[in-house]
Amino acid sequence: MNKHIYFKELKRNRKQFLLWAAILSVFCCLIISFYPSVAGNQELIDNSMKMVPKNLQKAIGMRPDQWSNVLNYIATYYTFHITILSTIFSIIVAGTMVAKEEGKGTADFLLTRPVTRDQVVASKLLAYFTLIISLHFVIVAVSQILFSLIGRLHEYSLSKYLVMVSYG
Amino acid sequence: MPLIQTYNLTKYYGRSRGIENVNLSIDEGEIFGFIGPNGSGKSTTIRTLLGLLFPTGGSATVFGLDIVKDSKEIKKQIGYLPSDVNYYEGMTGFELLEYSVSFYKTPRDERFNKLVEIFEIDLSRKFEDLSMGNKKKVGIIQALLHRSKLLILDEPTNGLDPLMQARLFEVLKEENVNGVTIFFSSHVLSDVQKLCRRVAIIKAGSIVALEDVQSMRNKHLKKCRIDLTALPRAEQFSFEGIKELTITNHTAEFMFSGDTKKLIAQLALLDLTNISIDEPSLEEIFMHYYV
Repeated sequence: MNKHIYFKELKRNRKQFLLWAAILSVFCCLIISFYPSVAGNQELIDNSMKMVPKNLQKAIGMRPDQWSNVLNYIATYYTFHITILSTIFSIIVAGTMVAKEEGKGTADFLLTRPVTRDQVVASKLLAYFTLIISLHFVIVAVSQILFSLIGRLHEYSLSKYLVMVSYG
Repeated sequence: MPLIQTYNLTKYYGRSRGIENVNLSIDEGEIFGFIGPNGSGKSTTIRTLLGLLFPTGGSATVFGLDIVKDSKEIKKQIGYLPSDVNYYEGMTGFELLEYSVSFYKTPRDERFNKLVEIFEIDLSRKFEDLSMGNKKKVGIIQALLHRSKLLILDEPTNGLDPLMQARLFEVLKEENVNGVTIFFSSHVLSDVQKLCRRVAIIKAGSIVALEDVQSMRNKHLKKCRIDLTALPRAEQFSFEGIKELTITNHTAEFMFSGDTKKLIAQLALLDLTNISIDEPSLEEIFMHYYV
């Protein structure tokens, strides 16, 4: 592990990070701000749920209480949309860190410094994880603020949310 | 103990040849020239020494340390200029140099400003906006900045204008006086001629000659030019040691290697009007090795 490489990687990817943090925050805002109107129509949703056969509900993972509290509601989006968006981010970052360095010939610069190849990879991997975890921290923080704004903070537990995020 | 020592160093890229059985020995404090045409294996040798490539056969030591096992230790004391300078896009020259020097124990000091002044470079510009020559200058400063014991320069003059080449040579000579060993690879022979004491010539992956620049010029070849009253005939010059004979009008030109006395004795038989015997340039010697 080499701290110069680690910090340089964080710095090099900061624009990309800020861009994706913004995209995901906006996305969270959209999803969560819809929730009050969804929750307001609980009866309507319950009725439409009844129209779906029980076995089909099970098969596609629908639950009757799917949208009854804010955490279940956001989980529906989390496991799909946000996971995909953050995957795109992680692919871009991982690509610039290793593949692009080799492709553009800049890898020679690092490999002629007094570091081993293992150190280069380890530093970059650590920087990569730092970025991904920070991104999810941003999502959690933004969501928490929004939950309190729509007055649903009591329905929500941070620990459950973190479990969900770590799946993402 | 030599600073760089290679023992039958061999590198194959799959089946195609990189270098074969390269044996070099470079002493501390010397400026060593390494010449050969494109694709002859200069960069392969250098990249193997730096641990960017792993040898397929043989071994080598730098500072007495093994190039594969102790690559990290070795690189603490090496300044390397690649032939193609490819650094990070989006970084300014200044950021790049700071990043580079951060890997070494040497702090960025007044030497930095001095080098920037010598090479007249605008470090606030992004690396990808620099011209080839300016990229090279950033590379040169990068190699010199951390005061290493050994400089490995792969075609350093490529892309530099003559003024900057002259400044580079001055800087390198100064470094050498301060005890820095320089491994100088080039295909421009006059560069090597100006700077180096010893030179290795590499051809198709193998070292074909390893000699003193001075003795190489003295010992081996003389460049002769003779004017005759009669039209010269090729058979008049069919004695041992004559190469590359060209006859134009009343003039015969050739390269001679061997006993000078015998040459003079032979030439005395001819009806000469003029004669000149010169030392050949390295260029001509080089061509001789490649004929």
